Amino acid sequence: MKNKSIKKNYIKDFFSGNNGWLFLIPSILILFLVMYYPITYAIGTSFTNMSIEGANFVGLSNYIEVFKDQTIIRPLFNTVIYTIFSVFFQLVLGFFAAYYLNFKIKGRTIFRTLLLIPWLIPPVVTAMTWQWIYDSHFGVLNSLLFEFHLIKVYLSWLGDPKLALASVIFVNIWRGYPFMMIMILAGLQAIPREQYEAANIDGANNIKQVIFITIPNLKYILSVAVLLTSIWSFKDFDLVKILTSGGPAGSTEVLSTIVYHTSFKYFDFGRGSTIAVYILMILLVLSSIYLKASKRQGT
Amino acid sequence: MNLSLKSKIFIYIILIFLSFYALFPVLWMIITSLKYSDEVFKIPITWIPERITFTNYLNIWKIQPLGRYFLNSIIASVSTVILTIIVGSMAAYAFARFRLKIKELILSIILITQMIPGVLLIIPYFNLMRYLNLLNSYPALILAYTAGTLPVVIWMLRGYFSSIPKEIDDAASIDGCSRFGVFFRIILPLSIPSLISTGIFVFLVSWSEYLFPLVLMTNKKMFVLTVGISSLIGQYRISWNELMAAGIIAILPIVLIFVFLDRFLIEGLTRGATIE
Repeated sequence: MKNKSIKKNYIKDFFSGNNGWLFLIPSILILFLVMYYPITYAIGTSFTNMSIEGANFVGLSNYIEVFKDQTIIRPLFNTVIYTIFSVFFQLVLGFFAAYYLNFKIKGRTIFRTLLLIPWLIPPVVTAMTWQWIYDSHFGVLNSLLFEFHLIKVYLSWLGDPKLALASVIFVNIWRGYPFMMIMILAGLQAIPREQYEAANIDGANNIKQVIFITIPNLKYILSVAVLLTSIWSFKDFDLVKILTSGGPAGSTEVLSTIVYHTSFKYFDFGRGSTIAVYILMILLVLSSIYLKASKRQGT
Repeated sequence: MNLSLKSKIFIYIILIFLSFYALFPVLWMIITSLKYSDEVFKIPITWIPERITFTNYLNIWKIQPLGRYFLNSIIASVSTVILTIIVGSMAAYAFARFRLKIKELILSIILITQMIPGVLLIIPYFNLMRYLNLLNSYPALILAYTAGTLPVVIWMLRGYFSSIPKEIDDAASIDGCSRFGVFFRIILPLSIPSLISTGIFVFLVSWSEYLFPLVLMTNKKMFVLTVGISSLIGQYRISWNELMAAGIIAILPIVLIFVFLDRFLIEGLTRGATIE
């Protein structure tokens, strides 16, 4: 009881006659203007058939149409595959890198900075560079693989519908792993040494130590990192758009690119907004499930 | 933990391999950008250019208004940093002097903000900016960038401000300092490293933005660098060596941040991401 009244007083104290509110108002105004209003507007658009000509209220028909639409299945499938594979390999690679960066050796900070680079480059530049690397006639990847006799003919990495999605995922892994790496590294450095020392005394080998000490300690960081990277991959736009723009033959079309094409190629803003809202809903639902599950596991 | 020489060598080898994996595309960018056009399309591929030239770096400025694009990116990104830091630090301070329940709320809001697909917002943005007559203007970009980064900025700074003892505020108040005085003259100076880290984070995000500038700027003079470069890809007159040169130019500010502000960079990224 006593605590509550102290808290209340403090809050009142901050805001009463002490200009406390002024600290918050600019942010609230800006966020209202550039976030809450547009979101509401966008959601509102999804209930209309807005296009260049105008907009009429259509209720839930957009949502029903999209739900029943067969052509959405492929992009949805691509998005899921893209997300799962990207996150998984970013995790593995990030963990691997963080594990070795964790050792106290000279030059460790330099390596850390170098390994961070893929994440810092603007996605547009990354995509452009990888387009060049993947070039089917003069690209360095084909040249290298051919010279090492790993492939017999030059492959069209971004032009072959069977290869394109994997190629795009590979780029996403390359540019995404540093985030995982940094998160995991922070987590690794927080693990108390005593645990490892105790394990050493008990005669546990390296692998056992990793499984029973390292990973359990990292559970919280891992769950946050996996959640964030999954969200980002699921709604990713820039990379896919520049690399393949959803082609060839829709083999790399993801939900975001579908929204973009629907809105800006076909000018069907109503439908575009609807699919975008679906993306948001899927992310909200999956995230809540994920978070609830993590909470129950005690992370 | 003392490492044997054998272990150390093993670790170095692994890290060198990883670094090569991370840097190869950038190295390839540089190599390509230094080649003459005929050598770019040579088979077999040359690793060390037979003839090195810097003409690509010169040409690329002439063919397209790259300088203008660069300037636009700088103006938009730096302005966003300034705006988000000023506005965000104030809000962060207010939240830092709150307690408990708010933390969960802010966390949820930030997480939800992260889930919003950019493609959802571009239509209302376009219409909003058109209505406000702000299409093809810097404020349109700055506001868009701010929307995406402000929640995270508030979160990052809130965390830091919380660690500054309230007693300092109180001591200053007793000496007659107003709330604003406390904030500007005591809290902020104490938080400079955190402000720099956060600023770097905002700059990186803004610099890399593509979708919003693509939609909000239809006038070529107002393109930002990312949009400008993407418009060059596939153009008949532009060759890969020139494109790679443009790409290198695009990552120069980031390299500079690396070199001089590396410490803050890592701290900023870890904090911005470690939502705990």
